[in-house]
Amino acid sequence: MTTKQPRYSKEEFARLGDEIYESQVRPQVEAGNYGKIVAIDLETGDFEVDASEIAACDRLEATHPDAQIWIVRIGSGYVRRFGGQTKRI
Amino acid sequence: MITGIVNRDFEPIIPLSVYGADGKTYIKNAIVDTGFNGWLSLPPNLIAQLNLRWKRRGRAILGDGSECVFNIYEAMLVWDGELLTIPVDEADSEPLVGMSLMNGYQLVVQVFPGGLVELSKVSPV
Repeated sequence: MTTKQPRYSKEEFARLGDEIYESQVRPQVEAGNYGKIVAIDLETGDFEVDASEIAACDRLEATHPDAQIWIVRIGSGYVRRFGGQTKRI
Repeated sequence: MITGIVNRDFEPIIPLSVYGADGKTYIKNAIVDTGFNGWLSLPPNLIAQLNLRWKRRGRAILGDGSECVFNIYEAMLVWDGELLTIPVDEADSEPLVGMSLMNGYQLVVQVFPGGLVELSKVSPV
């Protein structure tokens, strides 16, 4: 089994993810799914929606084992909030 | 119940047993962080030590209002005697336990150095 690795820089990953979400995914998922997670494969544009992040990604990986997955929380710009994240010196 | 202690830096610390890719469990101390809404964050060196598999990326908002794109891995851990598979976020900080991992639990902290930290399961009303 090959280990999946990111094939794009973080910037490119976010740019592609935002583009696909805004143009193709958002119109299909936004109604009635507030707060759920969308997992998008950057290379095929295929996606899965679920309240569980792991369930959405598992379903996407079942059909696209090598998926480059960008996740979005519906209705929010962020999938996580890191409170007082500080780097130890 | 999960128990821990408040350290001299006023951080509530609990021990976690995380499984590495080699199937061994590693005990890591983690800071209970109610300002973090994920499950667990680990620094890159610990993710490498555990040899966790990269799964995906997403966007986060940080405490100072800035945003970042971060890597998400997955790991199995022992939580209150149960085996869970959870998302693990890569973050340049000490290991943090977030609100999603504490879902369904009551958190009690005695806020002074050496004070007790207790997480006990509750039934949501």
